[in-house]
Amino acid sequence: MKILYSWLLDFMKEKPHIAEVSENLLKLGFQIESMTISGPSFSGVVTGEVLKVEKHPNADRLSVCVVKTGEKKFRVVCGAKNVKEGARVPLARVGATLKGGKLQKVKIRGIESEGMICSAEELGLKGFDNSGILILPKNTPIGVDARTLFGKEDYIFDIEMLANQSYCLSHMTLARELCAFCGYSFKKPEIYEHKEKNENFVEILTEECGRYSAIIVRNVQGIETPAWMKERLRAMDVNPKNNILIDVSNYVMFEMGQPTHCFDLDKLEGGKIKVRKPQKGEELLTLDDDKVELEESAMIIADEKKPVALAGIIGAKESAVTLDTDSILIESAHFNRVSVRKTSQNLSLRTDASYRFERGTDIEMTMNAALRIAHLIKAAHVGAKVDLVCDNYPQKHKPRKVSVDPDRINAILGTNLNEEEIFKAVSAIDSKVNSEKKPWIISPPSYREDIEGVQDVAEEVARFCGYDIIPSITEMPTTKSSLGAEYVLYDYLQRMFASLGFCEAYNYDLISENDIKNTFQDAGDFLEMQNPISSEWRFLRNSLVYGLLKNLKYNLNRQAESVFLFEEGNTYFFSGAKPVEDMRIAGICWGEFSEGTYWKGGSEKADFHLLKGVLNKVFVRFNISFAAGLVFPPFMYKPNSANVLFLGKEVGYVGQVNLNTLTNYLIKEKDVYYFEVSLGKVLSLFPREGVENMKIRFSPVSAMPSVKRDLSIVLKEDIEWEKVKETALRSTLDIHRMEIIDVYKGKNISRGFKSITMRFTFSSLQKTFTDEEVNEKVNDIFSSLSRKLGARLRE
Amino acid sequence: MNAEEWKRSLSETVEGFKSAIEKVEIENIEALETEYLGRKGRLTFLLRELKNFSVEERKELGKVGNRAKKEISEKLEEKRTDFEAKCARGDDRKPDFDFSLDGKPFPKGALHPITIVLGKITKSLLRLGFSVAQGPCLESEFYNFEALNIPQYHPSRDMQDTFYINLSNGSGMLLRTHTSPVQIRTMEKSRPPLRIISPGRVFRRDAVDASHSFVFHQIEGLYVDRKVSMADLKWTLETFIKDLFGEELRIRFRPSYFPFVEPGAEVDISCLFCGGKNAKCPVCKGGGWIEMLGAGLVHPNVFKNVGYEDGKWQGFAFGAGIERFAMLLFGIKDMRLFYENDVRVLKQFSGVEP
Repeated sequence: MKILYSWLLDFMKEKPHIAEVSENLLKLGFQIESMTISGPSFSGVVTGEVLKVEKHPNADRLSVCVVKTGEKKFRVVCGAKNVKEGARVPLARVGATLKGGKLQKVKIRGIESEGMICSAEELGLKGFDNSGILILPKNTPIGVDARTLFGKEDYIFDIEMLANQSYCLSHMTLARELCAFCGYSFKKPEIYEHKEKNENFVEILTEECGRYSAIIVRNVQGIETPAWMKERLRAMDVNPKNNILIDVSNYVMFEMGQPTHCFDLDKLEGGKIKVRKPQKGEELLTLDDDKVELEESAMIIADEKKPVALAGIIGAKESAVTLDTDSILIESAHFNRVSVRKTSQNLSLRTDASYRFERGTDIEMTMNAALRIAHLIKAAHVGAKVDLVCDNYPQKHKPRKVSVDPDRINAILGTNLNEEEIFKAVSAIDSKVNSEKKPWIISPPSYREDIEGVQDVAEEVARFCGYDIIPSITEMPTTKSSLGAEYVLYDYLQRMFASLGFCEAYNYDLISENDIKNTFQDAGDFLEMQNPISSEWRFLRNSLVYGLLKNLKYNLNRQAESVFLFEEGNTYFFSGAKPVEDMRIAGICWGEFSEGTYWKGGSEKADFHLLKGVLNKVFVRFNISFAAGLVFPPFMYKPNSANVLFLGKEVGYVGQVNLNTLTNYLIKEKDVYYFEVSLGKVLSLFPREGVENMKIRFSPVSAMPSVKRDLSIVLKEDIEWEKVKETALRSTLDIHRMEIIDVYKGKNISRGFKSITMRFTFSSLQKTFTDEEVNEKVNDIFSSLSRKLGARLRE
Repeated sequence: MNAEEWKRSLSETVEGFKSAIEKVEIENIEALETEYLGRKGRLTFLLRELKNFSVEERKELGKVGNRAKKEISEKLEEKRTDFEAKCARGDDRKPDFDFSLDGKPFPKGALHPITIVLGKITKSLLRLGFSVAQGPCLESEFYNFEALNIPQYHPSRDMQDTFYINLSNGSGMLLRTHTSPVQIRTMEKSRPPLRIISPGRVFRRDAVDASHSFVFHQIEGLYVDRKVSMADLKWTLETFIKDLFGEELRIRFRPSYFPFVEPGAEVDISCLFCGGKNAKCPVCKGGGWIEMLGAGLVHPNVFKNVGYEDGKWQGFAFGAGIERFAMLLFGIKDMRLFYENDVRVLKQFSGVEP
């Protein structure tokens, strides 16, 4: 919200310096987004009259003008369409300082321009029509410094108003707050002192309107808005309409925070106002030419026959004031904030008025705001005549009672304030509070509906004294803390993958329909946003693959030589009809598993077994195994993928991403490997302990020397290693370790067969094996392999 | 040669040896030994001369002579050991390889900067007795708003632009806009005293630019006990913020508004970059303070919504955006960098402890 410094001072008897005001605003919790200096900051601009406008000989859109500034005449090239002979304009001469810098002498399409006719924008002025050059009023004197035409230098605060600061959404109410909390004296605005009798010409037919004040003023036709008021409205970024009947309503809203509306009385049929709910089928054409169908929950202002305004939001075009309006009805009412918000939300109609009503306005202010309008109209035109006054106030404000014990205030804030200090602060909310009896009973004023209990009062005390009174000390008792199984697991995995050479990625949870198509899936299976930012971010991911593929592409585009990324993140999908989420860990690998090339040579590229080794290491305590899977997500290449099992239960998958998916992500590389493990499943298999407290049982190691023996066999190539291993381990005792050290196909081995070399380590807790014993064991192994798997010894 | 002459000759021999062994090189040590102790050596010669002396003299001179022999032998042995050690160390050898060649290039992995900062904050608060609690990202209106004293038609809903999930049953499921629902979930499950933090991902329907992201991270804190004050809150925040940024840092409370706390405070830290001394500081804009997080005492309505007895419990809560901390801590100026996952950027965090 914009706050003009000079306007704020209107309501303070003391005139504190700008720096003091901004410091106090900050102390009270008003966040100043910016502070700008308003008013003219240009120089070297004089007023002139356009004598002649001719087409530029070399450019259709330009004209060559002669501008007179007293004795002197200037030839000026101008690009604006609205330049015309006889117009009074601001002329910047060569050397003038404008918003964009110093004006130089230039040739435009071959014609030298001796200056520039300026737009409001070029002069740095706000609140003027900016579509062309600034046309000054006809009676503007020629040859004077243009600065003298505009308001004096002033300061504009742009304050970000919090949702609970509704009672400060205007100059007067913000000044009132500064006065109450910083010790200045408040000065009320002048209002029309009315002696007219209260006539009841307003009927309130809904509880959503708590008060409706109205004044009828006659003989108001053609009153121009005073220059000072236009100046202030411009500072609020409002273009004044130069019809006081329109401008004054805005002005009073910015001044007192009460939205008001002026109806053209002659357009109100029956001369009576009704505040009611709409009837079926009723419509309204707003001031902004929006045709609105009125839903039953809305609240309207109506005359005898038709709706004339959407209560608290916007008026109807038909009953609006025009230049011909002779009599007006000023509306200043209190509307229920929820009601206004609902309607404004449903119709997507947000106005300055609805903004204030939905935050809550001061029910006690309505009449004064209407009288302020009457005063301002009369001040602009003595002939204006207040005719009738009506104040229909069915929901009279009843002040709330809040009980305040100063000890509680200190306990809440953690302070040691003495009673007098606290009492002073409390008096800023309720000046009539009685200090004698404790606890003090305070009645917050009508505009402080937000003060409900002692905690609210404590905040006010802290604001009054300054939040710096809160010390940084504690009496919190010591206590034990825990990380929880989830955190421990997530943390362990992150550290493990990072230490193994993977970089951690963070991707958005949202994906596009293209991601779904690119991976051969059906959008119907995905959770969809009701209100996506854009089609690029419309669905929730059901896997971490989409982000990681994009990351791979991103890094390939930047010449990465290898990409090893992992991510821990949420995935979302339907379980039946129910949307659920599951934490996952996933990784993508491509390229050399090394930080660049090693000068000694040797290389290892991302492949299935590299990733399997990584998973074996990371999940060493989770009883991990791998099995050929039946079902994989459609972006995997099934033959080269396996399921990951913990305790024999499926928790994820690992393997190669299929080429079509890679192509769809514009990735030309082929050997891209990926894994994904559901941490939800992992936690359900290892519920209590997590990795931190996994049970570890020591097993004794042998003091006897062990014996190693190699065995090379030939067998059919489709027999899996796992099968060989299982068979060998069952064939004899005391195999301490069994490794595969070579797999060979090719020369000297028949087609369809492979040769494998295994290394056995035999060891026992009790004895050292003799050669004969070992030979016997190797024989047992071989004969079992030969019998069960058809293995032959390699020649 | 009388006894006196013999003695003089002996001491000249010993002196001669001493100065010779000082300068001896490894290849000459054998020769030196032979020169003194060999069959025709200088000391051997003198000892052989002893047979020409009387028994008494022989007895006396023999003792001196043997002592000299022992001394020379020991010195030679000492020198030999010395030479051997030098040789083993390869003091005079050239290296067999160029040790400036690169070591084996193990792949450089790294934790994401957000993980690092979240971990640091978690660690720091864990020491103050806060336990970690987790909550879902898919939330209901109740947990995300209503239970937190943000009623449906209240303007405070405007503070957080929300993503809703499109569900046929219109059940109003959304992506949580803050980690605060975890407060409610924790209080529903457990009785005070409570001390939890909840790190996690949150969502706001904001367009992405240098300082906005529709996905970002927060850490929530909640403390509920019989006696809790704004001072406890300030101390807690100050402690973890100093752990993160350093002891010299100061923090400041300003009045602010969050519907689920009262009194509410915006928490600023003193500018790390200029200390408030640079009027043109791009970080604090010359104000000397940087807005960091929101906090306050738990609103009585929140306790009411989880069924805690009226007036019996007090609490404080805070919520901090992690990206902001990471940006300040690592000098990152654009929030989008966190979600690009450029390995050249990520590898810069290799070896950084959370």
